[in-house]
Amino acid sequence: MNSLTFKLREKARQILKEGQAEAILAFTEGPTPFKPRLALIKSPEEAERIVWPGFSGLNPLTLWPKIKDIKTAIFATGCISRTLAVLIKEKQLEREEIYVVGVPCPGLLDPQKIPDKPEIKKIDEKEEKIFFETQKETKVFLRRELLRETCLSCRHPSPTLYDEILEGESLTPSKIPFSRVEELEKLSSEERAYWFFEKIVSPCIRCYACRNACPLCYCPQCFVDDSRPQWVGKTRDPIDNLLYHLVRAFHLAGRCVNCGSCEAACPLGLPLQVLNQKLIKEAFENFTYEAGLDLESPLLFDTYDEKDPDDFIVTAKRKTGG
Amino acid sequence: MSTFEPKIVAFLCNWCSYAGADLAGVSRRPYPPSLRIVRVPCSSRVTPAMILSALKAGADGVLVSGCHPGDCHYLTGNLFARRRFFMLRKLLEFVGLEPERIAFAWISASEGDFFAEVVKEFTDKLRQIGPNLKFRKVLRREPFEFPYL
Ligand code: SF4
Ligand code: SF4
Ligand code: SF4
Repeated sequence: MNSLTFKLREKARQILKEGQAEAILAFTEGPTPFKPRLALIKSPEEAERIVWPGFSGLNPLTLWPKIKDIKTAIFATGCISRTLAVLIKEKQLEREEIYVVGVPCPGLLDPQKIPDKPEIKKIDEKEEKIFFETQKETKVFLRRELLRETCLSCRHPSPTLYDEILEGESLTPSKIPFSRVEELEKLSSEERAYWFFEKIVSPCIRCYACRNACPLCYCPQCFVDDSRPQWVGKTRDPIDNLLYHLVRAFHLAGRCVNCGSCEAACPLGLPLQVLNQKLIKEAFENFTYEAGLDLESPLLFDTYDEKDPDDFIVTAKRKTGG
Repeated sequence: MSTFEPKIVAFLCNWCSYAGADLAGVSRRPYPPSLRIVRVPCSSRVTPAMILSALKAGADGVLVSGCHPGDCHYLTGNLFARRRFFMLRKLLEFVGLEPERIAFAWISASEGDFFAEVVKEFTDKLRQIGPNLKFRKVLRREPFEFPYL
């Protein structure tokens, strides 16, 4: 068994016995090894079902509206603890409502990176090695070959907010957090437009899985559901797809914690998180802002600075050079 | 493209820029008839969805204008707006989508002349860029063709 799975089960049993929380929101074994399922674990016996979600990119806090009326514990890696911090700052959750067990994150894995995955019967993780059992043989991969793009770009794999923390080693913080964004920035504007249309706008079927999988997309009525005015049309017209993706990315500006839940949820595997990463990069470079690192500092758009960049704004003074 | 006359949707804040437009009018400053003005309470009322919707509906350009920093009727609305517009511009640039079609300005209620000047220059610039073909939504029978390369 995966050593993290073992640790999580042990901790879950202890928490439920000692009563720090009434329930635990955690991944349990699912229909296939790639699809662990989220469940609310309420008794120490049930804790045996918990698994470490090696291949599930879903951020468990996506279910936060459902755990509000019961004191719940969660296992929080870096991005999950940052999600929680943003939710608390946005006054959606109280810090006391959630018992946080920090987990130093070894990084999650991307099923798209495995060749011939349908045959796989069982998966095991042992530190740096990932074992796949197929009918005939056991294949071994290195963890870093299979890491999700999101985790490869993660700057804070260790939790920033927790009540207690499990022992273990986390991924080293990424030295190339914006590599995907920078690669695109090197292209000409036409080429970037082409990339955007080819890779995101045109294939997207607007299933809204990316919105639903995002813990911070919790608006009771999303702008895509409005009918007066109707911001986005009902068909897959590229202009509507374009508007959806730009506005969604913008709504996450200064809030997105780079958890990758949106990208992992996309049935077409579109690289839509790159848009969010671009905004994370700009927020960091221009406002030295990163989402969810503490509970005190205001959110990016909840504040301003007299010296914020404004050279793109036309004024009479600037025109006359005064 | 000598016959092309751009259409501009202008979101003007009630307290400064709308009054600036008014002053340009009452002082009989000529400027091109390209504007369709939407009066908003504050420049921070303008959302990216509003700007993109205007382009989707066929506008060739969008002008967003509010009070100068420090003059905002709501004290700091325009300073919050400034951050948002900065990020929006970065996002549009990133996906290669003609950020020149969107202009931001601070125009006070006393700058009628300047208002006329901004509209004139923006209109001239849009004449050069040409009609908005990338953002505009048209009913298509054919599958969508990428219009850029
Ligand atoms: S999950 Fe993928 S296909 Fe669905 S709306 Fe998002 S980007 Fe489009
Ligand atoms: S938009 Fe950001 S916070 Fe939301 S799921 Fe995607 S990566 Fe996570
Ligand atoms: S896309 Fe925007 S409006 Fe829709 S749920 Fe997310 S934040 Fe809310």
